[in-house]
Amino acid sequence: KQHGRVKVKTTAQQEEEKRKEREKKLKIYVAARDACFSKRKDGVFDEEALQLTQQLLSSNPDFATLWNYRREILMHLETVKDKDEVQKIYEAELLFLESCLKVNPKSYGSWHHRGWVSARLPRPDWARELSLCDRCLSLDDRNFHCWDYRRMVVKMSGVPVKQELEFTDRLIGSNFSNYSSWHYRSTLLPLLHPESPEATSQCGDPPHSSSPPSPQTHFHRVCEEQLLKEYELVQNAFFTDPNDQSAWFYYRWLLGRAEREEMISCVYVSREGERVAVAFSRPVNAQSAGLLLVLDGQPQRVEWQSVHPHFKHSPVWICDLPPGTISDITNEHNLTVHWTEKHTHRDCALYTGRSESWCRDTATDLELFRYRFLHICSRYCKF
Amino acid sequence: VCQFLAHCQSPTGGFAGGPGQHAHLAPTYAAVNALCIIGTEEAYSVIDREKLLDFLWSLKQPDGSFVMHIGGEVDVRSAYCAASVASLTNIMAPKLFEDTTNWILSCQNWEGGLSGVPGLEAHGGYTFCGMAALVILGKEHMLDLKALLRWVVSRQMRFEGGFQGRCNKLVDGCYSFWQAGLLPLLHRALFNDGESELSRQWWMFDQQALQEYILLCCQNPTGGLLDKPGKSRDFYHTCYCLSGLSIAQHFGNMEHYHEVILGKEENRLAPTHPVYNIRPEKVAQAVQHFRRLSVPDSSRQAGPSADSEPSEPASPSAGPQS
Repeated sequence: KQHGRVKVKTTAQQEEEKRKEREKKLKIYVAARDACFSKRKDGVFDEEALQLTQQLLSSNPDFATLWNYRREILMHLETVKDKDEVQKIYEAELLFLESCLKVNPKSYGSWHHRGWVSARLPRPDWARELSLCDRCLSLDDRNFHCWDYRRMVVKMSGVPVKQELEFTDRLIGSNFSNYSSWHYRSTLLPLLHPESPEATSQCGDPPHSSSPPSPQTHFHRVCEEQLLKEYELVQNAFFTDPNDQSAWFYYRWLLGRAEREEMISCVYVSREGERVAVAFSRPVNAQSAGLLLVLDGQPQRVEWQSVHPHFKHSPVWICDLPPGTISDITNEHNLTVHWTEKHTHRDCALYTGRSESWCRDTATDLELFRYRFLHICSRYCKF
Repeated sequence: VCQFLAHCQSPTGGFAGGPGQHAHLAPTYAAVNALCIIGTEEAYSVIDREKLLDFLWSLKQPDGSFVMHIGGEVDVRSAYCAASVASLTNIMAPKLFEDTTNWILSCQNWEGGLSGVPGLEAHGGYTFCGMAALVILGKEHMLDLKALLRWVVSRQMRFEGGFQGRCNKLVDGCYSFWQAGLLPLLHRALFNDGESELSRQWWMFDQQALQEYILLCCQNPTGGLLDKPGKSRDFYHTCYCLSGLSIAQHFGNMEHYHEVILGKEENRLAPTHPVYNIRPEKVAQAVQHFRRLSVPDSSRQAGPSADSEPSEPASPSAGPQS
């Protein structure tokens, strides 16, 4: 304060001060950069070079040339220092990288350099690296740089798949935006079950057809027990938040894991709705499939509708029965759905006193799961 | 600009972010595109084609991928950058892209999109790079196009109208190009595959909704474009919002052409080439110019792996000489 009045800067003055500040910073930066380039040109790989590059990379970790130079310096130091000194140098490097990643966790340069350092450390501490990934992912579990780094750490240190699955359990439980975690799970699940080798390793030659197997139908089979647990997990997710895209996309992928043969997976019938829902092991076209519904020995005239009104192919088809045919709860009925194109069929018995039923010839848990899924479809699909 | 870019060109080939820096595929891609946009003889002659081919060879990996720069990381961006500059400047040596197709294909996963490297989640930027690279190599039909189509159309946000980069992430203006730009590529690929139900007027995304998002939400009132409201403007978002806007405005193939211009006539942008993202005339002109020159005869085959020293005896240290 001067003479009782506060001296206030005008906007123009503030702008000017900012500009001078920026210019000052730029001068320092350019001087450091030029010093780096000139040192490198002279083939100098000393402490000062490390200092200079550190200074610059702290504010600009995307300066790839400087990471390259830093690697040259470190490789040179490896040749003139002993193993313990090298260990210390690289540990200091890891600390430096951590501070870089705190500022910008998405810099290609920083992550790549960290991977390079970890591979060169005489005594790498993979547990510490994993913990870094844990922390980084707890802040942003969609950071693919970190997921990629994590995969490397897991591979180098032999972390068990089960442990990684537990990690994703924690992440999925705590974070809303958890698609990367589901995705990571999708890569872990098949590893638990080596019964499903890739097509390539099986026949020795790379598959050479004009239409290679779609990545969606890749032979990443997962065993039934594991699958059911996974279904539960992801159903919990979308029942908690039906608007979470992740769970639905992952679910869709999961549904493809178990199916092997071409068959009618399940038939569901509802007395109240007077409706039959049929699930297939793959999308079919009801017309060309030759779907036939037989009720108590009598073929029924029904109109099959897919759950996706505009799609001619659907894994689920639904039809309404003529009114009154099954509404009396004191009557038992026997239903058969024929997939005439594939010469296969499924029976379903609707017992007295029961308002609904699903095929029960093999009452595995998977069947129960399919019934529940069909029930959901049948209730929520409106025509 | 030509002079500046000439200073950014590395003595050992390729372009760097700035003078004195190491060459990197991203600025190489940008520099070649910029020079093709300028399109003068002077601009074309800035590019040292022989050295550029050497540079690409030095980045090539045994598994078909490319690193982004000597001593740098691998991801599918590099294949696109390499294929883009090689095809424009006519330096596609035989075997330069050997195994690259299979590597790119291995980046397509169960989601339908492509990840940066095999095993990660599908991502708009990488998906565009992978698909566009395959289009350049003539191998786009080897992708599961239907799965890719399903994935990308699911990335347009029903409320905002713009695109997200990955499932369950927020909208971002730059994906107006990376994601929406896939649809022209898919349209053509599916057409070539014999698909008969393709529209002759529209791409398979909501063009109007995307234009609304870009024009209403992605403009800085003092100029330039951005990610989403609240973010600051930058050249990257300005470029890709405008590129996406152009895609959304223009439908076109061999026989058919249809425009959808939201708002005033002045909003119309020039059409952009869906592979290179510069004007189609500029692509044609560059290709015509460089076709007259022969493909450089590079005796160098695929370079050393990412971390080791280069094989040239004259330079014992890694990276180009200053």
